[in-house]
Parts: sequence; structure tokens; C-alpha cells
Amino acid sequence: MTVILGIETSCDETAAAVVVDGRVMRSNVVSSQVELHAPYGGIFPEVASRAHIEHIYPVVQKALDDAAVTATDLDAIAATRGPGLAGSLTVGANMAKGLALAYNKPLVAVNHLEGHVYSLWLAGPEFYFMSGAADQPDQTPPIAFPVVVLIVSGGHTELLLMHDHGDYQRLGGTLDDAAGEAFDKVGRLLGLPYPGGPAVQRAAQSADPAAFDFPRVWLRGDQGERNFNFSFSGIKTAMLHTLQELIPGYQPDSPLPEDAPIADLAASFQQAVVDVLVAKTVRAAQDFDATEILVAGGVSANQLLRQQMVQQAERPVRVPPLPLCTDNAAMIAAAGHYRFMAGQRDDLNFDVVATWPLATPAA
Amino acid sequence: MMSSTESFLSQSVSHTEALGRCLGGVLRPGDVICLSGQLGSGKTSLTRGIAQGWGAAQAATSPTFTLINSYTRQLDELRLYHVDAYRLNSELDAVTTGIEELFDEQAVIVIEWPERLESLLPQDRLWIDLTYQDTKSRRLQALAQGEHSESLLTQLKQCFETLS
Repeated sequence: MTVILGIETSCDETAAAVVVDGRVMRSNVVSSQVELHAPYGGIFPEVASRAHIEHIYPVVQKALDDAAVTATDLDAIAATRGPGLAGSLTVGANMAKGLALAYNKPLVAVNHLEGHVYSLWLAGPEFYFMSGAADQPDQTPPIAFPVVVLIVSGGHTELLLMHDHGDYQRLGGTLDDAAGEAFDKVGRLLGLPYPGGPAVQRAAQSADPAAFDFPRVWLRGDQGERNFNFSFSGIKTAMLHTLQELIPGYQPDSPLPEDAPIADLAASFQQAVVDVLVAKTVRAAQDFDATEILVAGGVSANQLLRQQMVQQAERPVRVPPLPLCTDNAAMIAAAGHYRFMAGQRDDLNFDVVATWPLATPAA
Repeated sequence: MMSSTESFLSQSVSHTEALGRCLGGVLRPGDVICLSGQLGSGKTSLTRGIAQGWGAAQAATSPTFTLINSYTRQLDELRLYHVDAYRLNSELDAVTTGIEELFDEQAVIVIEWPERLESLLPQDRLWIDLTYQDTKSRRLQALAQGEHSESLLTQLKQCFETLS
């Protein structure tokens, strides 16, 4: 049995968690800076590393307390090394190094994107969807390689082929904005609160997804060659144009008239993004004979994305339960477990890395 | 202080990128380019061109979430930082996030939403306001403050004329 403490501070969340054998979550603490700020009008989370410094000690202590373990019980400490904001990553890495030194524990540096992948290995009731039984999560059989992984969040949109633990082939990624960023920016154009993902989904409920025709960007080659890259910058601009046509004198951040078709706009936008994400992921799974499709990251919380992926996948689809879609440390501990079992040990002087692709481009 | 302005009309996204490539090709370590404009005004397209023209090994993607993206070029191992201050609440955030320290490095810096950290910016900088004209075209109003950015602006103007 391995007991691993995971620490994650790559972006806005300060998080710590204790995970047993890479699958069983004993605790999962996220000091969501979004939550802290929501009561004050939904301004942006405090992005400064100062906030991580304030949160890191109580968050780690709570993760240990909730799991009913002490630092001496740990087999290893896993921390996010990158990609992310250097100043923020350093806070979590230094905490991990301090604990590793003080308690003489092995240290495992983890890629944040690999953490999202391993959120799918954490045991939970909502993980496994079979086509044909769209909304019925099943018992969770072990994941069989190769699998296609779509990581889709505010900062990342990556399509990977995973051959084995730690063995990734990058099929594509966004050329401009991440899918979650498109949700945030379009949410803002529509006057919806931050973060845009849940707000757009809520606004889109029971609206017409075909009311407006937003672009689906396929990036096919001149001869129609397949392309597993994404582009979500144009759809934001298309939304801006549509609003300017509908509402004379519209400018971003200006109040929308009461009769503006916000729900239909939100639904049509969401449909366009989901169409592209699902079609490219399913096509990749077919082309590379993947046994399953895994979807992770904040946007994997989107209900339309989940439904449509399951309907079109023709193979099992795994999606994390909602609390594990967004950044958390349980996924870092889970990825850390597999790295630890493979023999990875990192020095106390490892550097954080702001840019760290998970895999090299597919040949 | 010396300052001068020029106005350019970009006809399309690819025109904006071509202008960016021109500008990227003449940038030197220490240059600061500020890109100001609303959502969809072409800041990221211009930056994509700048990074390409400068010689970045990777294509530039949006730094809105990551705040700072860094690119290196094989030629001389120099760095280009692409900063997005959209999510910063204050200039204090910019200091504690480490953005301020970038100005001390011998690197090229492109900043979106620069008005959020204006007091931290170096005096000599090229400031470009991008505004939406119609579906395709964008107006680029460039203000050079200081000797070095004046020369950048002159080169950008020459380049624009060859493109047109």
C-alpha cells in the first residue's frame, strides 16, 4: 500500500490531497480562490503567488487531518512541477521539498497535465459511461490501453494517445485559445458571471442550439487531411459580430438589452464548441483503435460534452466526477503514485518549469 | 520625451499576422510591446505574428489563464514573454506574480491588457491600440515613446507600406 500526499499550485487553486494506491482518495482539499471571491461580485480570483503562500500550510494540514494520517505515514510526496506560473508552482514545490527533507520522504515531481489524465484513475461512482446507456455510470473496470485522452480546461486543450502509463503521443492541441477560455470570454460578452463554463451551460438550458450558426473550425488540410488541432479564437470573435449585428452599438462589457437572446446564443455557442471537441476526439479514437476515451479538465464537467461524447464514442467514455474536473491535488497524488511505482525520485533541488508539454508531437 | 504615432488599417487576420511577423523580425532584447484593445480586436493574432517573425520555436497560444507564456528561439536562446494582464486585479498582483521581474531580463516582452500594470512598464515602449472596424478589418494605432520604440515604429511603417 502506498500513501501519497499530492500538492498542486500551478494556477489559481491551492490544493493538497492524500491518495492510497493511486486510486483511493483519503482527502481532497482545494482552497478555491474563486469561492473566496464569489461573494464579492465574482471578480477574478487572486492570481498572485501571495495567495498560495497564505493557503498552502492550512491546506496541506487539512489534507493530512482529513485523511487521518501524519507526515510520517506518507510513502512519498508528489508536487506539480509544471506547466504553470513559475511563482505559483514554486510555492507548492517548496512546501513539498520542505516536507520531504524534514520527514525524509521521497519526492516525486508531476506534470499538471498528467495529473488531469490520472484524475480518471481515481476510484469513484461517476466514472464510466457506456455508449447506448448514455447517462448510466457503470461499475468501473480497469482502463485498457491504448486510450485517447482529451484534456480540456481554461488553460489547456490537448488531444493525446496514451499507450501505457507515462507513455503519451500528442495528437493535437489548441492553436490559440483553450476551450475553457472560449467559454469564459463568450460568457463575458454575454454579460454572464465568471467563471464562464458553468454560467454558459446554465444560460443554455432549454434554449435552441441551432438558433445561431457559429463556426466549427476543423483545420482540415488542402486535400481534406485530418487535423487534430483546435482553434477557438474565431468563435469568440463570431459571437462579438453576432452581438453587434443584433444590438446596435454593442461593445464588450456594455449592458445587454433585456430582450437579447442570451440563452439561444449561449446554447448555439456551446453546441459549436462541443461538436468540434467530440468529433475530433471520436475520430482520433477510431483512427488509433483506442479502447476507450478519457475526458478530463474543467470543461469535462460540461453536460453536453459528456452526453454527446458518450453518444458518439462507440466505446466506453470515462469522465471524472465534478470535483475532480477542475484543478485538484488528488490527481497529482494519483499520477505521483504511478511515477513512484515506476521508480521516479526527484532531487530536493528540482526546478519548476513554466512550459512543459506532456508529449512530443505525433510523427 | 520623444513620441510619435502612426495608424495602420489591417484588412484581415492574415494581414494583422503579417504585420506582426514584420515587427517580430526587428525586435531586440529589452523591447516592450503593449497591445491594448477589447476582446476580438486582434491582440493574439498580432502576437502570433510577432512570435513567428521573431523566430519562436512554437506557435504562440493565448496566455489568458497561464498569465505568462515564454518562448525561446534556437538561433540565440533568447526569450520572448507573452503576458496577459487580463486576470490581474492590481499592480500588486503583477509584482507578486513575477511579471515585474521580466522587465529586468534581456528578453522581448509582449503584453496584452497593459493598462492593468501601466506604472510598472518601462518608459521606452511601443504601445499599440487595436480597435474593431468591421467584421474583418482592425485599426492599429501605434504610439512610440522613447528612442528605441521610435525606430521600431519607423520599421513597422516601412513594412506596412511593403505589405499594402
